[in-house]
Amino acid sequence: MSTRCRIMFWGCSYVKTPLQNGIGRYVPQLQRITFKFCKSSGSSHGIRQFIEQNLLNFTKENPHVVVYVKPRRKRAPCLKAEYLNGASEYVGAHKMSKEDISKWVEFLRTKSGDTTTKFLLKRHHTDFPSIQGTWTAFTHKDPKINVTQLPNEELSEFRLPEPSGTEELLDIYWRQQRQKEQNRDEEN
Amino acid sequence: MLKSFLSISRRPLIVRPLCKEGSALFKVSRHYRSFPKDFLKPKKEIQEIVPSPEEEKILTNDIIGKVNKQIISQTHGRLFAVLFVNERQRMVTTEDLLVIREEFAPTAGDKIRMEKVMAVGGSDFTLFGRPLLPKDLVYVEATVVEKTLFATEVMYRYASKRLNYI
Repeated sequence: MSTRCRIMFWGCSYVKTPLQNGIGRYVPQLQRITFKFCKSSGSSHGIRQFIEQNLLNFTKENPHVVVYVKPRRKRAPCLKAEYLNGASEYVGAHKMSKEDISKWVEFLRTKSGDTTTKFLLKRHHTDFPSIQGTWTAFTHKDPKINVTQLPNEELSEFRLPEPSGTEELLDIYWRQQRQKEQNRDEEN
Repeated sequence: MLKSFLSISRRPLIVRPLCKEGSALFKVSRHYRSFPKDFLKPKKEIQEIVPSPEEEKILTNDIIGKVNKQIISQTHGRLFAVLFVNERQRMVTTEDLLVIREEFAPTAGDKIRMEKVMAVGGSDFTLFGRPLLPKDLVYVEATVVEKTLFATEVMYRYASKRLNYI
């Protein structure tokens, strides 16, 4: 699959933050997080440990997040995170250890509702792409080309980007000649 | 014209003059440069006006003074900076968004200061560092707005028909 094909297949996205988040103040995007678990089953052991030991710290450090704890009998444990833009994320916590759950919780905390798995077209975003003016082919050219009568012999010359060996040798030769003339003039 | 070059012959190879006037010694082809008629003569002498060291000093001080004036009075307008981030140069203005793909220690909400500035400029001037500008001259403040997994990357593997993958 070519890159173009791949991009169209997976979908494209650009970087964005909701309401220009970091500029004036930073608003953390996680709104609420729900811990659903079973009180007795073994697969919920890790999440139960997390709730007992780490959850209060999390709530103290993140007062902007509303935390729900939902015990459900005979059901697999999971985390459900909801963000300010209405999007939600689901993380299945079946047989997860306390450390794994704390890592996922951290991931959900620093995320925003805008993130997608789509192909990222650019790794930056500006509203002001140019400050000194966008480059054009005429930016660093002599403005006299606007006023020349065409066809012009000088401008129609075939030019390579680098000088050829012959040109360089000729340059050196003529520079030497000029130097000799200057020295002769100075002596006289 | 072409036929004469393609034919194999015991006749002596005749080099036809390709240009009516001047030398007929050079065959013009894609890989060779076409020389103008008077290429052996020197080009027009471009007189370079080189200022003396005292004049140069006055000029530089004048320019630096103007730049400083703009900086002090904050009349330079919107500035851009070229940062050195993770072995890459990124151009940045205020209110920009940057995605850093590599390992990054700060988390969401942290305020960071980026001090490796390679160049700074406004519409009227640009300051270039060699290779970096001093920290007390310029720095870039940023807030980390989000920290997530990067967009999914698909790794493709080619396996030939011979290996019965098709």
